[in-house]
Amino acid sequence: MIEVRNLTKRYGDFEALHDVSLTAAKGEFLVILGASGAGKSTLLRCINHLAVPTAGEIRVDGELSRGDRSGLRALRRDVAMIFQHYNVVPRLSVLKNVLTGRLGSMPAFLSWFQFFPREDIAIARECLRRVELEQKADVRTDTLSGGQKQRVGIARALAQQPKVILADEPVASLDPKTSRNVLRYLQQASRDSGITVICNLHQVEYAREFGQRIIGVAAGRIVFDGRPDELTDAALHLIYPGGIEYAEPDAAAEPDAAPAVAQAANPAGAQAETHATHKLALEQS
Amino acid sequence: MISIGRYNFLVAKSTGNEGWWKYAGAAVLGVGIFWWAALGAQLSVSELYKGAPWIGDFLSRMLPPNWEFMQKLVTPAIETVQIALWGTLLAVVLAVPMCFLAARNLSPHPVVFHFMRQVLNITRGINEIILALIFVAAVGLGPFPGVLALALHGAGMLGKFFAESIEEIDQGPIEALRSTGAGPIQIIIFGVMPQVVTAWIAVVLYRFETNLRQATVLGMVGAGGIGFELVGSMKLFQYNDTATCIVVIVVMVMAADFLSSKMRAWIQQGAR
Repeated sequence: MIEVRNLTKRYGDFEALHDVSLTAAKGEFLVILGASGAGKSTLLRCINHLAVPTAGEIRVDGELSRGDRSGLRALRRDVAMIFQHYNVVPRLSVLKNVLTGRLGSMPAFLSWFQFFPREDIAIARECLRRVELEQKADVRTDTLSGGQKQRVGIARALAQQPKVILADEPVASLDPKTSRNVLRYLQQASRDSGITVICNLHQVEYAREFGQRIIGVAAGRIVFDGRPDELTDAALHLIYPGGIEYAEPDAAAEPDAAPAVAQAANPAGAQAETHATHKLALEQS
Repeated sequence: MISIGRYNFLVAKSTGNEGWWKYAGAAVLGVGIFWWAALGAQLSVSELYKGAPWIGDFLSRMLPPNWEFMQKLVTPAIETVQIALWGTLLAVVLAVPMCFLAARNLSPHPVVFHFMRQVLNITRGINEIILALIFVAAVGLGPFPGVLALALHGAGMLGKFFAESIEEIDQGPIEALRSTGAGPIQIIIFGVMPQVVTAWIAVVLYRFETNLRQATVLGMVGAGGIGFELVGSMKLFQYNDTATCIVVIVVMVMAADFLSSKMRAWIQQGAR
């Protein structure tokens, strides 16, 4: 479904991505794991041409993605995006936010005057139902909670009826319970409609829980590619060379926050060892 | 420390090598500039003193205002409001298409952005009265050149405000809409407008208020409205009529100020 070959992206002298190649199959839930600044976001934005690749090529469903006008419109109809900060339009109703996912495939002229095809409204309502927000359709979006806003974001992406959904840190601004909830909606959508999901995460446990396959990124390079059960401590060490930051420890791990802090501060060499200590402490508590 | 009775002089000692001298230098420079400007502007207390009786004479001729004259002012006062309304509407119509091109984050190209900003700067830079003089020469005496003058100057003002409010919006929704494959006008309607519309309405109301104030003086150059009557009465030495004009103008401007500030508050409160 998605084929990225030898993708390189430079911002001036800084190389955000170096010779990255990856493929994702139809309906696959792929997690891209990496520390902040590793190049995860750049990778997703390049796939969607929100950032223009310096070198390399990207194919979506066999089609070479192009940066020209018609190429962009075709590409973006097939590739939906979900953002960390939801990026919903605050003063529009929930339904209208979801309908904006249909803008690329409806008569533009009528949409300027707020006329929408009946089928598109039906699609939008159906997508709202899938994230269980149908009762909020007519509410202004800025009255929703963070988790609900992100579900609107998911519904908007689904309304595009895309082949691929790119999710850029979709749960980074949410609490653990809401995060799982949101990721579950995303997982469900991918299963039901055979949509390929590429989801950036920085939390190892969510990656293990939701990813069918995990790709580890560090310093703009792919350092791991495998199933969740293959994600060993050694692999984690490659992804987080500076030490694992457990952004969100489990509720059970909360009492022994001290080792987690120690880990983050630890030099790379001692990291695997403290990770073991962390586990031990977990068992004791 | 200097103390006077129960009061202490509480100013920190100046730090640095220059001490107080730099302030002394700045003070001398400031006094010098204003002295120079006073010479140019021919400020003169003695002239004011000599002129005082004349001012008194003038005021006494104005008083009491000629209330009879009021009924002749009704039509010009309404005309002033009409000029302000259309001046504002045309300014909005002109400003809206320009502002998207003059906003850094929406402009298709930096050249377009800079060009549009310059266009707005020029139209805004020319005073309404000067524009009115030009339009009176072009289309003749009457309220219509006044409308055109307010429209052109207002377009520059509103276009800049509109563009700046577009530059301040949250870019996230714009990027999201772009990624759904929405076209540029769809992005403006669904992503930009909902974010700027309340700010725009407030600015337009403020502009109407300013236009009404300006419309009261446009008549002085023959561009219609109540200012025309004001100048006419002065030319005929009917100072009691002049006073009536001034009273009407002050009341109109105050009413516009009050109404527009109430409406702005109401809209901003409604928008949260």
